Amino acid sequence: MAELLTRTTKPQKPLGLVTPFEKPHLTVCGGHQPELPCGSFALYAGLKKEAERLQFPLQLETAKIGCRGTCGKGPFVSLPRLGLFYQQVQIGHIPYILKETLLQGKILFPILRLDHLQSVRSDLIWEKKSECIMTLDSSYCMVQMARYLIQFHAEESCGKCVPCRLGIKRLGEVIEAITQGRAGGSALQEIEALITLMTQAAYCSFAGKASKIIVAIIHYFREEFEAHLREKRCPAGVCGMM
Amino acid sequence: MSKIHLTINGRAVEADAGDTILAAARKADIRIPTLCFHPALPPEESCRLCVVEMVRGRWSSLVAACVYPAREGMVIETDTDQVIKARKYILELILSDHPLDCLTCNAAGSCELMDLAYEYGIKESSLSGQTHSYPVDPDPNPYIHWDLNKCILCRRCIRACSEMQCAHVLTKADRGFNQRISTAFGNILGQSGCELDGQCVALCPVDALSEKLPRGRGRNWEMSKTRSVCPLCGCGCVFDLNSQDRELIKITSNFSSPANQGALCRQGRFEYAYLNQPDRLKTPLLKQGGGWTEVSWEKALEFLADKTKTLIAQYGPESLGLMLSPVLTNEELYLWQKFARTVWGTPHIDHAGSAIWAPVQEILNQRLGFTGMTNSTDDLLNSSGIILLGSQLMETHPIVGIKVRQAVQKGARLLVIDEVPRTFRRQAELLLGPKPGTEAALIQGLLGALIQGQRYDASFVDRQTTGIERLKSALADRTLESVASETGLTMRDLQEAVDFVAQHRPLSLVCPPPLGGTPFDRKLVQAALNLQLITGNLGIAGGGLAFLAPKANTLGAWELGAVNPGNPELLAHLGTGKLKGLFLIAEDPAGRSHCSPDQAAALKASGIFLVVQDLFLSEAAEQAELVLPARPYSEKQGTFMNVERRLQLLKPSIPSSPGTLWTGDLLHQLAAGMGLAWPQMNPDQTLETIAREIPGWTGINRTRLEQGGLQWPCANPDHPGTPILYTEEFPAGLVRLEFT
Repeated sequence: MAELLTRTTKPQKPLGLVTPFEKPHLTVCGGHQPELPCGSFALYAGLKKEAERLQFPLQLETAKIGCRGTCGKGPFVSLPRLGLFYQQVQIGHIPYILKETLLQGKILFPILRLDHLQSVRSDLIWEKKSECIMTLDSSYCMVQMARYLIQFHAEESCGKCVPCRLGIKRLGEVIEAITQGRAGGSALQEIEALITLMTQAAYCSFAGKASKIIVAIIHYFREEFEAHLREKRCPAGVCGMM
Repeated sequence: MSKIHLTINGRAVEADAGDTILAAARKADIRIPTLCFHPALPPEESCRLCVVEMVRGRWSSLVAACVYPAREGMVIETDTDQVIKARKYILELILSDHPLDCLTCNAAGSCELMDLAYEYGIKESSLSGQTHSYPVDPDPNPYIHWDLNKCILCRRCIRACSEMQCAHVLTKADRGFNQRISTAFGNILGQSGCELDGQCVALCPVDALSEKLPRGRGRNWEMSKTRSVCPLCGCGCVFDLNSQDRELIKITSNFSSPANQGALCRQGRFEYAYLNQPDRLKTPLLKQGGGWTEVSWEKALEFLADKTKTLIAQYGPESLGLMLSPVLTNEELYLWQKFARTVWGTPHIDHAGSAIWAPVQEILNQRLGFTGMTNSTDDLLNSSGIILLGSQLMETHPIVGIKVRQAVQKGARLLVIDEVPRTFRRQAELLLGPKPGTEAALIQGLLGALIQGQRYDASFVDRQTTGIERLKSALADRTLESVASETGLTMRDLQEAVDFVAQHRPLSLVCPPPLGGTPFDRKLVQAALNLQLITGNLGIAGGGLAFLAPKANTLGAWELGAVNPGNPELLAHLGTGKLKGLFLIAEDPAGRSHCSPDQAAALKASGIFLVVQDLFLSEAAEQAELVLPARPYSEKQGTFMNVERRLQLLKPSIPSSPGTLWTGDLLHQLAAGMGLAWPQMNPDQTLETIAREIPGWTGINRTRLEQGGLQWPCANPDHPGTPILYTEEFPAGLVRLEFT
């Protein structure tokens, strides 16, 4: 079994992805949050148990998530080495994930997450409606994620009203300054004020909706922002600001 | 209109149903700041500065007051912490991408952003980041200065271009932060159909679009603004003259004007440099020994009095001629013609270009009772169909042209009759290109087809006109086939035109003066009048007959007797030798367009005693014995009557130049020199005299004109003026349907 596992985790040519070997095999959203209603905690436990039963040397981790358990698409299982997510994973899917995806490199299409409407990045789950966010694994810096998402939206803004056109632009610039260690101590207040304006005073709901995910990220990963701001340190080691 | 009641800042406010929150607040004198909003434009709600708090029970939200409809029982707060915070932050956002070079900015003093920043105490933006750096003034046009770095994207210019001027030149390009004001494909203005009327400039709240000419020539707070009337065409646009010391720095829109609602054309807005030229006449000049000698007014008038006395004694009073200008004020025209008639006793009075308007004046006066447009310019917006006889409208009367375009944009259909339509091609539903000179035949053909097809307004014809049977028999042989062969149009075009006339009501007919100073076609005037009569389009809103008087005060000149009714063309007398002395007042028939080259040559050859009053030493003035300096419109008070019979007040923006003399004083001194008594009247007294003496002017006085303007006729001081003529009946009785 162990040999099989080593063999199948070689780079997957058909997908064109180079999977870093140090990454975990699987991450599950909400693996440490038994209170979530979607059953991700049970799924995490189930995967662990099944791997032990099959004697898989499974590297299983909890994903980096901001979640309220209201996304409706969960639980998610990510495959960081393949750069994929499975969604609405049931306990019954566990053997297939382990045997077919991990051992044979096959993708389980019925539960594969394909959502091209959200953003251009596939290593990120971002549920617009429920403001849930999840990255493939814990190696992602959430400030960078926020920067990416707001700049993604900056390009979508039509530019009609001031709160959206300049608000999103300045919001992106403040977050970028945080990633580069240039931001002042009041950056979070500034973000909050901008987002309040964009939500309350914009012409349409785009600016408000676009900034909701930033609110969610700050809500769930405030300590990462604080680390960037106070200690000039990126906990995930991504931001090259030091 | 039903009233609604709402609470703003704890005060009970009454508003009309359909008002926005902003309108309701303004009625109650509650200030809500705005930036992209402008009363002359449809709302855009892009700046979000007018946000107010709408309280609904225990929660509240911010809404844009400029568009949000006021409703019964609404509770609005306009200056809570939340609102102030939002406004301040919006201003900071705008300022974060706006150069703070207020010290040298041309808009300082009239910059709305600056005023708002002052109001909210924002020194600089707390936000920083990327700013734009566009090239400054990249466009080679002579009038409009672009600086997109200062643009705040309120989109007023776009709205002005597409909704007011209906030119559709400016638009927005790109999106998000990179959005900018642009023409199609980013072409220069000259290549994108821009008419350079500068309406975008008038509405730009900052210095992004501004006038090129006055840049660096004065600060806004040092200029004084005076409401006056444009003298360049008959539209009678009201504008503000911005002057500093003795100089006219710029002309800006006045949005409270009923005649043009703030719209101006290129000439009206930008071509005023002649007023500031240093070579303007400053003193009377007397020709002595082949050269000019500067003389004082006393001496000049003494000379003039002696000379006229001699001429009258020698050749009789009829040897004197007076040629006035249709850009003189009503007061000046009245005084001059009265002086000529009573003091000199000559009937030889005329104004330049009187022949152009004479056919319309005579026919309309004789058949209907009044002259000028039957309806207001603004009333074109109520039309369902418009017939445009001649597409030179944008050149002769741009503001009427803009109104036609606005009407089309609002849904009216347009029929353009012109051999080669220059403009209105895009707006026209139907373009007819009859051979030149056959327009009258075309209209007569339409008349014939409408009558033969029983497609006319029989009840109006029975009630208001006589002679329909005669017209029927006169037009009996006018089949569409004969018209088609005469005009060179196809039967299908003609049939469509007949359907157009029959189907649209109210239908208005607009006819600008022909280019090149040729008179209106008598037959065309008759035919057009008949058409509007048998279709019942006179006396109703959206209908009417709009023959456009060519000059700023042509109608006033005719109404106040600046013509010799029996024998109007004064300059035709030049060759006969009857005239021994000619006064040309503020009009140069030789140098400008109102006189044929023959007449100019005749003036030169006649060798008569010539006195010229003008701004410059013009071609005619060179022939004169005595030249008097004139006062331009920017330096005098008076009234003009525009194409829609609206009397409007001009006020001096610049103190009158030393060395010029008000006509009333001039005539008083001249009469005194001749040993006669002539009252010394100022403009106000003159207007009072006119109102006393001329029936249709009775209700007109200075106080009423100060409030905006009145449409002649205005029979008594309570009469509101006449926006639409003949709503009840025709003053001349039943109108005879004549066929010529």
